[in-house]
Amino acid sequence: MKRTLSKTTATPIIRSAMILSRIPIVVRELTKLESNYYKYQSELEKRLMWTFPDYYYFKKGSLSEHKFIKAQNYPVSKIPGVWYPHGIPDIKRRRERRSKQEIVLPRDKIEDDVSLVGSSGSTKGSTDGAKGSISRPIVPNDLKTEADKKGNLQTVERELSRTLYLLVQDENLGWKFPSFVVEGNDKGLHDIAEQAIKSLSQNEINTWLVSKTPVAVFEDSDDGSYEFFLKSHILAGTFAMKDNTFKQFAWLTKDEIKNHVTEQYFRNVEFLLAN
Amino acid sequence: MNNRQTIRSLIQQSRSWTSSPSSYSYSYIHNGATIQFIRNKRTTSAASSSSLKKMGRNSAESLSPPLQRAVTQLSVLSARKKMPRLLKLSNEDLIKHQTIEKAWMLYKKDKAIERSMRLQRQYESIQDALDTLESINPHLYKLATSTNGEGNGRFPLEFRLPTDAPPNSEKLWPQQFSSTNLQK
Amino acid sequence: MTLLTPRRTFHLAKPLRQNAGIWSDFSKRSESLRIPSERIRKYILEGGDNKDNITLNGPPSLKRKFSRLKYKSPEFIDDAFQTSYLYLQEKAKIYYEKSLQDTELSPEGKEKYEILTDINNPEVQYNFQFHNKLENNPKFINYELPVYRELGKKHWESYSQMLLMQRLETLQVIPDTMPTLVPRMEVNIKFPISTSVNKWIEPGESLSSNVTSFEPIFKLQEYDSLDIENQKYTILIVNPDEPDLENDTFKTSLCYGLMNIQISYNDNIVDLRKLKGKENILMSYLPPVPEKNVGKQRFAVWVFRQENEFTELPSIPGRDRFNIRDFVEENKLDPVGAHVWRSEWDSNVKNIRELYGLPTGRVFTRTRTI
Repeated sequence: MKRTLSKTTATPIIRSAMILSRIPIVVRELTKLESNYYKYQSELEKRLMWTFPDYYYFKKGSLSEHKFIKAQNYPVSKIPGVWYPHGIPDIKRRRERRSKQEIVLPRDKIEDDVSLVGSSGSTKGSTDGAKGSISRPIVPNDLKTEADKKGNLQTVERELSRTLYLLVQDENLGWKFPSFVVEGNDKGLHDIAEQAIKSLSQNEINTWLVSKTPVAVFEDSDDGSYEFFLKSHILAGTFAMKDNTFKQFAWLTKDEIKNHVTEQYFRNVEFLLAN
Repeated sequence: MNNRQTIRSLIQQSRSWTSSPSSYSYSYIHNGATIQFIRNKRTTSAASSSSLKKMGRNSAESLSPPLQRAVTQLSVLSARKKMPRLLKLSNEDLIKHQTIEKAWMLYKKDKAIERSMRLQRQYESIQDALDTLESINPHLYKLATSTNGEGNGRFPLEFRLPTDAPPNSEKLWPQQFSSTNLQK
Repeated sequence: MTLLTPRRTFHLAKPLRQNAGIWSDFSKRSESLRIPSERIRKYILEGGDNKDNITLNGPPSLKRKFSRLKYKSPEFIDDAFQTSYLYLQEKAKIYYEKSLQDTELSPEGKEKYEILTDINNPEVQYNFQFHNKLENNPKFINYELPVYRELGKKHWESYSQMLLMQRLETLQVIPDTMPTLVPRMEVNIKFPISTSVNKWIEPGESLSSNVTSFEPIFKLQEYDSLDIENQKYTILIVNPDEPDLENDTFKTSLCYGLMNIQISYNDNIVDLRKLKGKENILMSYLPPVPEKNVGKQRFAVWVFRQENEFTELPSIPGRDRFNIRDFVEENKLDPVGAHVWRSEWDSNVKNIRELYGLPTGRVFTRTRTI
């Protein structure tokens, strides 16, 4: 689609806007359909899996083999003259062939070993730490950060599973992506936007521009100005407003952007944003 | 096929290791009975061989250690005695399974369609933006589309892949950044 | 259309887990879209651990108690099924509402939405997959519903249709009788009166003269949606392998001809005993009586859709030298289905000839006498 401009009008005002995003830090939560499907499939896979060849991993007669065998809950094999209401056990290589094989790792043994090493004395100081580091259960960190709990929108350490976008509040225009007027012809759109964003921030930030080409354009019918959008990612550093060019800023997800900006504006940028 | 080649080479190697002339691994190779040997995984002895039976029971115990190791390794790959029973679903469960698979297929299809539509729209948007830029300011257009050989610079190694659980709070986000440090 | 039996409505009082969904709402939808057995229905929709099933101890489709006890469902199948069911139902709801709301929808469009609404419904799939598709019971498979017709058509296309076309082509029924066929209707034949073979005949099968001694019954399964109440059908059986010694070739003879046949989607067996009288019979049945040493003769069954009903059946000069192509063109018949079987001389042919008062057949030898 080519746009033609009448020669008589002066060069229109061009703005360069930056869609600065923070990519997710944790993977998104699975939907109910996905998690149930994966669970079902993994159970099917376990049911159809071959018997674990323990003779390959544990040497016959060794201590580790003994520990391993001791930890297993092997099924009871068929005894003549016994009535099995749920079907006669079909056991081969200590596995019930009609169901999945449960492998138990000899966990408590590891713990014992650690305490054994600890009591031997040489590394007394770090014993507790060592013991804790191996045998303590793995507890994942909380997905909700401090900022999430406080409702702080001005940090990238929020909504870890979503993509966040930097939006600023203009005195007159309200919430929007930061945009800067292009003056002169010596610098490209991307240079202007990148430098302006960096100079807007108090602290230094590391960003990576996806491409020099603009991803979208809006034409303002009121003053005939054009706003070009560029995409960039923040990699490091804390963004904080230096001067009063804009009223305030926020890191927002797509859903939150919908509530902040005007409906018309959201419709224009919606397809550029990740869920 | 590969397995057979491996065992053959292994057996040939073992020939040099087993020094005893009474070892039956020689006769195995000379008789060309290696294939039959491979088919039947032996973890203890190859007692079924008729030549062995003549030699008596004791000699059956003396499978050389490297050969024994090869046999064990191959038995790991073999399905013998390791296959579970066939999964037989009742009519009701078969329908349930089909429903699950159908829903999953449609779910993935919907996602793929949604994704391709968004990509299509983004592509059109880029074209529109570039066309507009070209018509209002050809110089900026040139700057936006020029490539200086190396494209857009290197892909930043600082990017982190999303993980299942977040890192500890102090490592959550690299708060401090200094471009002067980077240049060093 | 609705086959609502009063007994079933009592069971509906107990709420199901997906009570709100369209697939469990039979106030407007046909009863054939549900599994008639309440036990099986509950086992599928509510999982194996529901209250009623505890006493049953396993899937109700397994008849023996020991098999039920022995049976183990895959783990998490019920959880995965629940979410999948809700997802598919949610998608189906869109189509269902479209089929109800759009008043300007063409009948084909409406039918398309009706198919999309129920094609993934596990109850419909259960009814279709585990019940007889050929001799269908409308309680399970009701071919008046577009979704069952669609499933039936897919099932037919997956095997029987291909088998039929392969037999028609290898036996050269196409083009020896009609130029070609675009199959749109499933045709099955059976010789019920004969003693031994009471089964649906596979296309191309060789049948003894005893089996074919009385007229067959036809099952014409229509899968397309059309005005079935006003559609009439013509059935012709021709034998293109009658020796024609004068011209040193073969000629086609007409064995059987029926016209103005009326069927419906579910009740579609054409049986002479069920027909009103002689008014449908274009040509009465002459059983295959091949002469000795003519080899195997093909008997091609052709089914046509009529453009409209014949008030008077077209007159034909006789069985002999029947030109099926001209007949079809003159009467504006549209070939939609076919079938074929083969017959050969056997020791029983003599009896059949006596029964029908036919002269004794010729015996062909290597040397020509005429």
